[in-house]
Amino acid sequence: MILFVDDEPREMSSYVEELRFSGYEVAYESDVDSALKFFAANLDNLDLVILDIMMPPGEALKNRDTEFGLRTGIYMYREFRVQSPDLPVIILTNVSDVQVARFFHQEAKCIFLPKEDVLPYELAEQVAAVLV
Amino acid sequence: MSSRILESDLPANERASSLQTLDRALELFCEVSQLVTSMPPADFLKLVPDKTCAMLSAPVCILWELDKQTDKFKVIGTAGKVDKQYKRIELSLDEPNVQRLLAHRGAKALRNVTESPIYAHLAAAQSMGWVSLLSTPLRVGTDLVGLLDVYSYDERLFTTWEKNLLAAFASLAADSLQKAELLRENQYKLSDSRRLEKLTEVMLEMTEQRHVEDLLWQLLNASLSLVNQSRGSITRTDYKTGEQVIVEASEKRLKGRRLEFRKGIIGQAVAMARPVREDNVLQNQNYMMSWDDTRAELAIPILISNARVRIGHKIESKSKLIGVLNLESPQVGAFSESDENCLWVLARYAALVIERIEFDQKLEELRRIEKRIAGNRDFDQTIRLILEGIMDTLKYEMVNISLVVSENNSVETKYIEGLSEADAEEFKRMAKHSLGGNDIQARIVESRTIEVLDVGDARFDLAITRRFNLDQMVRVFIPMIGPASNQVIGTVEAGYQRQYRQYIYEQDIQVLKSFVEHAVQSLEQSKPGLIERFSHELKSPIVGIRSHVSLLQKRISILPGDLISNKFDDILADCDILLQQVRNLEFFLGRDSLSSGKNEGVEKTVVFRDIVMKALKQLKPLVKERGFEWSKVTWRSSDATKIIIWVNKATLSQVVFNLLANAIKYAEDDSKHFKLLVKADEDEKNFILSFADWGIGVRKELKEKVFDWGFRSPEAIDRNVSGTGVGLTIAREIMRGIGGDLKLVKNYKPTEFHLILPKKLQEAPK
Repeated sequence: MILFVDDEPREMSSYVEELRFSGYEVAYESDVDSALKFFAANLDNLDLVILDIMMPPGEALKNRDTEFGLRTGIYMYREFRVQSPDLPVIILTNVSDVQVARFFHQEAKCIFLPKEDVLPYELAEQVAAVLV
Repeated sequence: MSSRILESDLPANERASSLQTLDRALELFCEVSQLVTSMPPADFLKLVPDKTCAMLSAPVCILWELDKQTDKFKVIGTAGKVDKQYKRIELSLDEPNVQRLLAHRGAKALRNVTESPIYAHLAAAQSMGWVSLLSTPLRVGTDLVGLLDVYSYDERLFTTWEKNLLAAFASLAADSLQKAELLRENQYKLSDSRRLEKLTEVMLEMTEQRHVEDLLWQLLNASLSLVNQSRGSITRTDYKTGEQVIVEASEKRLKGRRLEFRKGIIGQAVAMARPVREDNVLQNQNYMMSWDDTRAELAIPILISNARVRIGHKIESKSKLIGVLNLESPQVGAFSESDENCLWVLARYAALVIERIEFDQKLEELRRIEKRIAGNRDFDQTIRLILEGIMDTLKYEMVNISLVVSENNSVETKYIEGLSEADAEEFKRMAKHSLGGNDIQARIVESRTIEVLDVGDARFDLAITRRFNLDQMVRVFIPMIGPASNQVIGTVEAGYQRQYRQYIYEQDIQVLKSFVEHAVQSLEQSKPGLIERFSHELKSPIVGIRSHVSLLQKRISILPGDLISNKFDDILADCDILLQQVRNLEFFLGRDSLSSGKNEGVEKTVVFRDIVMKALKQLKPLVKERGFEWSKVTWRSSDATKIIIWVNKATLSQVVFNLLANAIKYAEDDSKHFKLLVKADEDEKNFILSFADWGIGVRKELKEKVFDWGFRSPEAIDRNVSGTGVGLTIAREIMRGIGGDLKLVKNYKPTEFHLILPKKLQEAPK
């Protein structure tokens, strides 16, 4: 199962639908708190997480310096990693900050994809490559 | 008296001689009695010893005055040969010899002073060769004011009439003595009260001064005038070198002269933090010459004796030295204790006024820098302006701005001033500290409090402290807290050498804190975050449009009809959002149609139909996306054609779109609470288009802040990360640009904005 976390469901709907047409089971969560809850509850069934960076920090991360939500995904990623060090993660984001990209490029089992570079079917191909 | 002589047993020749003497004495007494009424008491007193000698045919007379403060008699006049040593004798009121005299009524005679117990003044009298004494107290009523002594060189038996004559004369002298004393006191009181009056006048004038230079000039001249002197100077402390620099002087040649730390009498006053009065500078090894013939000097520190300083978290009172007021005179002992006290009061008052003027000047300069900061949207330039303010205006010698780097979970020095370029780079390499750690920067981020640390604090990074000699500095650490977000984005560390200025004053800290707060607000707007948000706001609908088209292209054959229809709605909504963001961006970059001409693009518009309804339709997919019912978006059909005005449709659409989009974005998640009501009203001068929603609202205290450029409330950030915080600012500027306004009239349930459209817009522009 794929957990897709992004706070813009309408803009992301075609990505989610393409993944489903490609045969993947996708759980979509649009806020941090629900996503963390879902993650903890379904850890054993998860094959992949697709994660956005710019999101409201929610209750779980409200005391972290997420730079007003611009870096929420980084803290989410750290939370996921603590619980599941080997789970593949795709960062799908509009953030184009080089430092952020560099941080994720250095992480194991992690792919950094700018949204502007990826069409829905291309995301499905990336997912296929990760889940081989 | 004369009858007693006539009736005495003296031989006739002696009786005749005595009578002659008596006549002469009485003649003199009458003469003197007349003088006492015709001359000033002080002048009369000068005659007393000579006249006494003449009346009594005595060779020596001493006039003593009682000093009531010390209860001692002091010699104030003599006749005959009296040496200096004798004149310096102070005769105690408690002395038994004096007490015996005072117990006796009238004058008391002592045939031979050697027969009396040896008291200091009698021993001295003996050494002068005096033998017999006739002494009488000087009293006015019961009030003792002095003594009058007559001595002979031979043993002499003073007669009763001589005693009575002296006693009678003594009462005249006593009366004059008292009058003279009263006059002196009154004169003193008079000059004292005049001085006080003048001091008050000077202080009042000082409060009106706006420039420190003028105030220092006034301080020097008023001080000289108060003590009737003509030479002096004022120094200011150079905190970098500890020197006192002459900034004002009665002679121009002295201006700019630098006096070494704690050197000279001025330096003594600095070291002791209190006035130093030197009666004769030639006897003071510390004296540094300004005038060749100076003898007396009075150095008065200009200081605030109870300035508030911060030590750690605590506030304490310490003195703050500003400079020294220094007066000199060619006369030995020219300055009295009263002069010193008077000028000490004036100098301390001047210190407070100087502090106030300089505080105001700093604030004024900082306001100018803050304006430049506010008009700046470049992060680096904003930081440069902050550094300029702290170094040049607030006069710190070192500033370190460390920022929180969330990717590294650290706080890192990003900007530093006060070090060489090479040192600054090395400092930046070394100063990277984990946010959970014990380093002071991390602790300040955590505690969110201001601190002035003492040398040796365990939270200092030892390697950095040693490498850059930071233990020689006193430093304040201030958290950079975004006023809107309430997040700590970094720290400001500012300091100076502690050698000549040990403390950081609380007033300076508060100025720095307020400046940092203002600057951080601007940084929030100019930091890469705002650009990133704009970029996100543009990319997001583009990514949406492109992904929908891609899905339609690839999967159209298998997609159900309603999904295809939804995709088209989403594409149209994203296009409208995108256009809206481009308009905001144009405004942000100063290329909006408003700035290019007020009447450009103006056309007759039915506001409700052409703008409100259209915007609602464009935003319909957003309502659906949030899971809300479209039926909860309501308006009155009667309002549809109520407002018909001449306006630029695109710009007014931008305002309406921003307001409606906010109402949807910031609605509560629970769809049961969603409600959006649009209606048109009017008053005498305006149409009022109101937008009411039952969303998360705006905290009362933030009602005006929501219109600030780049402001996003913490609640808004929690709800929706993608806002730029400029929508309402732009909307209000647009409305004011066309002569209307945008107001937040209710902050919660409903949150209600009023869009004010002037009725004069009903007329077509000429």
